[in-house]
Amino acid sequence: MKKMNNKGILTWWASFAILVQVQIGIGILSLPRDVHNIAEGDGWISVLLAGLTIQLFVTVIWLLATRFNSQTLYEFAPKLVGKYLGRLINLAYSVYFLSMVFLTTLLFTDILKRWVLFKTPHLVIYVLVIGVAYYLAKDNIKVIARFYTFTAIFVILLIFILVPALVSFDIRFVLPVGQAGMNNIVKGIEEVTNSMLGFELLLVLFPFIDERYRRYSIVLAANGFVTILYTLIVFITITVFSPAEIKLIPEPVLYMLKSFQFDLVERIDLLFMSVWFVSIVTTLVMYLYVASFGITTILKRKSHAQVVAWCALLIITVLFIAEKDIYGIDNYVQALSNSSYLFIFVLPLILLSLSFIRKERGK
Amino acid sequence: MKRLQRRLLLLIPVMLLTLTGCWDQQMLKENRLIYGIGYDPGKDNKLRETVVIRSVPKDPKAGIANEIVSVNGTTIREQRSLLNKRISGDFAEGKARMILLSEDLAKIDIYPFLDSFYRDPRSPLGAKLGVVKGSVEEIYRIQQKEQTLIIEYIEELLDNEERNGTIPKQSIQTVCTQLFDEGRDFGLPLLRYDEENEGVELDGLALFNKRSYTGENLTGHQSKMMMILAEERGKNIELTFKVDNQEKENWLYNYVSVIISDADTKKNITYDASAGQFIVDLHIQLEVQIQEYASDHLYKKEKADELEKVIKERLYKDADEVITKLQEVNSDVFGYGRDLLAYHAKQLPERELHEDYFKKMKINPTFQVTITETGGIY
Amino acid sequence: MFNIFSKKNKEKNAFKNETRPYQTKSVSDQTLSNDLHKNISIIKESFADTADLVCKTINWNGKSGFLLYLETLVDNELIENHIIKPIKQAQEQPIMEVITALDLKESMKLPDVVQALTSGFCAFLLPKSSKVTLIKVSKQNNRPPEEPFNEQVIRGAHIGFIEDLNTNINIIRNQVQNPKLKVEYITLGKTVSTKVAIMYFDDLANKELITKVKERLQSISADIIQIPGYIQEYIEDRTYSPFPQTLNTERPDRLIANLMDGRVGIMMNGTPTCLIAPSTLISFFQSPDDYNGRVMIGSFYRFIRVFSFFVTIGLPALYIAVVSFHYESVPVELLFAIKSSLEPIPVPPLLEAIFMAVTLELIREATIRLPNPVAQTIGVVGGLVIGNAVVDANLVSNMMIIVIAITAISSFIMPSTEMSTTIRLLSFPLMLAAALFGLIGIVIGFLIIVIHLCKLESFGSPYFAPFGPLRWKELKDTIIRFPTWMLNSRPKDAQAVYRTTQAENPREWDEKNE
Repeated sequence: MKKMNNKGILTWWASFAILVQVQIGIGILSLPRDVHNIAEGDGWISVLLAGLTIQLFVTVIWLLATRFNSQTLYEFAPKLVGKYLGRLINLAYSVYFLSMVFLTTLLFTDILKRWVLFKTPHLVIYVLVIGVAYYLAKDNIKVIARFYTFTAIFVILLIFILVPALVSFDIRFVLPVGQAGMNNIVKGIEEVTNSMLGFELLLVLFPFIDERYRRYSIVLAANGFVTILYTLIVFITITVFSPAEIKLIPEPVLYMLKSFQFDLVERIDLLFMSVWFVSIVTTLVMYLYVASFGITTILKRKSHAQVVAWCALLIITVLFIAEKDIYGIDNYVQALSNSSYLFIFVLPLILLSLSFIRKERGK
Repeated sequence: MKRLQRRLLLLIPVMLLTLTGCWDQQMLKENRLIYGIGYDPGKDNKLRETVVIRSVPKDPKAGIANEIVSVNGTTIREQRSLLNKRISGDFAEGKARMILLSEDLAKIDIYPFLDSFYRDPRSPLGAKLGVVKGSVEEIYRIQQKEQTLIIEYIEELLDNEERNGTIPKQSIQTVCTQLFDEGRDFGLPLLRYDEENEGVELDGLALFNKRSYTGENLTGHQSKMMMILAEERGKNIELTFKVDNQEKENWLYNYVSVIISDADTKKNITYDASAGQFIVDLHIQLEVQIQEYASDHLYKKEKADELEKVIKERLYKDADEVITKLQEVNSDVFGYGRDLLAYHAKQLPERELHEDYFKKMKINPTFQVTITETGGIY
Repeated sequence: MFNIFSKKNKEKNAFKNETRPYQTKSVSDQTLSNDLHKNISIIKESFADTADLVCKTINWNGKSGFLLYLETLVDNELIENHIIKPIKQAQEQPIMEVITALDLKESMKLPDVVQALTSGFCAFLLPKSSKVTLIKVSKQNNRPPEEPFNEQVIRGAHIGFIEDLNTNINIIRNQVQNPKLKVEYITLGKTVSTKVAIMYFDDLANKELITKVKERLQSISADIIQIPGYIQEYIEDRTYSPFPQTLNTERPDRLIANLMDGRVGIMMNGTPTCLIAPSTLISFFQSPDDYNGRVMIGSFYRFIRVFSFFVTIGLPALYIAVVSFHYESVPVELLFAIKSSLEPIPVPPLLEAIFMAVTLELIREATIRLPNPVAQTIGVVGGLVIGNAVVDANLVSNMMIIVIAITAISSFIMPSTEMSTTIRLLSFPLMLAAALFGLIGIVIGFLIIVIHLCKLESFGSPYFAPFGPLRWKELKDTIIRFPTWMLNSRPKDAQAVYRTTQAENPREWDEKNE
């Protein structure tokens, strides 16, 4: 069987590529509308502010991870809070990561079914999406990183696909700046944070980064890039649709692309979907890998490949049972986004302060 | 070896899943491509829908043809099913190029006819939208204008006029943004059956307020003026003015045709607190090229200056006419409401636009005209 | 593993000043001593103990001298007639007069001796003498090595390997003229034994790689190893992958270029094909022609090749997806053209495509088997008659014929036959995926292919490099080709001991002119 220990192999670029692509996920398609509902034309400010907030969260996670240089969360948690509580934390994180896979697949399937595969049964789409993710996640981090460094090119492609929007652009839709009031802008941050999750994987991925490249610049660049990209997308989308119109459109980004007409291809949204598929898979793979990595640690197994298979099966089963109407999905989103704060901020902060108090740090 | 066996075993459920069907297949071959859709008021409070289907012959050399089908129904969905019963193959509107509404229907509300297009991801958002004076069916039943199929004919006609700057560029999608924009209205091309030539004629621009046709329309010339005022596309618009009254017999000498080679519009909106009124100052600088001017040759600077002055006056008069007409029907095709919301939200009562904000506005256009070219002769 | 941002300029600057152990000038400039055995071992050492360096004892005048030569470079008959025979018959004349060869000289310097040996000389060493007699006995190839017809180029050397292993090594040695080109022999096959040669530059190729290759070769235990295909399947990492993991070539220039990148060549007696390990996906897209043409033109054709890779895999699938799922994404005019060609066809597009693609494979297979003049007839029959008749009979639409024809042509422009077949094969599952899920099916298909490529490793180095892992610097010689003087480092996948291939600014004159 393959060796589990691949620590210290990710370069700066590889870690950057992974973080960026995990952060860019399903959320962005509906983000302009979600954030417009609260912060109206100032949605893009919310996104910028959310980027700053997230940088704060990332810093906490970074500080925690650097204290345990060569250990993942799964390894240092039991040391910090004791064996049983540590295991509980590990289990909680694994379940959280798995539920992220669950939610992303659920949302993505929903969008796929509304935009491309109208009549294809849910189960088939689940099997396809999770199947592709499984095929990659069962391999070691080295192979996964190779894939991520390659697909980073597609993220750049995503930017280019938005260029035609500049034609039907009306800046007046976001003016006057500050129309929604500070209160609403701050409220909007919450909505955005949900779409930018992914940096918490650093808790587990940190020891895999090559020691030479363990610089804060990785997270700063990754988060900065995602924030700017998101702000750009939200800004462009809000300026293309009139305020009343955007309220009616669940996925403004796709809708905007659909309305562009080119000589050769008339449905840009389909092209976007195809590139987007890659983005979704990159999000899924990393969560799936990290979750099964945690379960492997808890079960003290040697190889994670089998665990990934069981996790994939579990997720497909849960997806099959789960409610699939739009209101049901909304409930899941709410539940998960509320609990996510526990995992991205509260727990890391507690662990960090504990490690300061107990003066515990890895070699 | 064992690993391979296990893999093959895994393949079986995957195969079963995939081979059970291709759920979303919509074969191009089996679909009837709808090319144009039109709505007329029918008898007994019903709706009459006419569709143009582009029929593709099995033998490619046989030439092209249209198939026109009309049905009466109460709702749009009901009509779809009625249509499906009358055509061979599946009804597919994914490639529709043209949607025409009879003016009587447009006067009520155009949104219900478009709603299904916005919902279906496959629908053609680039299709053109137009209002018809009279019956749409009558136009569609022309079938073919010489060698050109009716839909292509209308499409090219509209395309051409859009390029010339007679009408604004509109499609279902651009209309959607404006339908939902409280601070903006729009105009759609108004078409008419041309009995003399057995064709279609563009009769100007049908003005909309909110979601319904006001019943008023701008003529072609007025529409061009509107385009200049709207700073959308001032360039390449051709205008003809009557600049003289002297020649009675040879009246052709009284006219000048110019083409605008460059337009620069400066817009300034101010709020007059005492009157509680917004004032729009438009300063439009035009560089024109003489296309046709039989009466005099412009080698003298004074002559040219004089002509410039006359054109300016004409422009002002026409612009004023257009603005008055627009304000009468409260159709804010310029989108000034958007400007108010964006830049003057503080001065708006309760920061919201009132129903008749456009009517209350004062719009002052000023023109400046320079003749830059006269063509091959002076 | 993925370092892109680290700076290695130190090594670059060093290129000009130092002599590296694998370079020709690396032979130490020393005079030979009087000790015969020491001399021989020094010479052997300079040749990195290569297996084709032969050392033979010959008695002359009561003393036992040693004859040293590279067996792949010399003509045995010449040695017999002009060296051994005269020496055996000779009395006490000086050695220079005994030997009847035309080109003959003496030297005491090690570099001279080594240089002479690499160019087909034969060295005669005597005890208690520091003088070495050098006799030219180089071999003339009796079978002209013709250009391999499956790897033709427009410009560049028009020679190829032949079936004889010695001749092949002779070609390489003649071109390289470097004592550090090491040849090792392994005899494989328990019943039918075949001589296999492993070639690499000593001190340049990675030691781990060499051990890995040797280990894998030595572990083969079979009755017969007849063709390179056998070896390939025994030693490559994943047999079930459709992608070839060792580059097959019949071109000496290609082999030498790869050896210079620190890779290992595996040749066997009886076939003209040489295996190169490790190889990456992109090396199947590179042709010597790219470097002979202008930079722009070379880049253009490289781009065309990569583009054709996607066309071959994806075009039929895309066409199927469009006509059976997403026809609304095609402009109206084109759509009606497609629709009217589809109207009389009774079968679904997938079947149409498979039928046409299989027919194409039939024609291809038939033209290979038949003698050349007949093969041309088959090409005409296949292309024109079947194509025309099939459309007339309404079995396959015109559009499909165009699609499949473009696919076929773009698959044939691959410089490597193996890759060409691989990608044509890969288009079938993609067609199926497209027929099931449309564009999403194609995306899934491509994703699986890319993931598979990321997983593939050829002798421990990533197969998909420099794309996955992405190495910005190495992209210089992939989709487009940069000028030769900018390609100053070896690809990382072979893990060569030295990374730089040229001085930092090989166009120094250019700077001086300014």
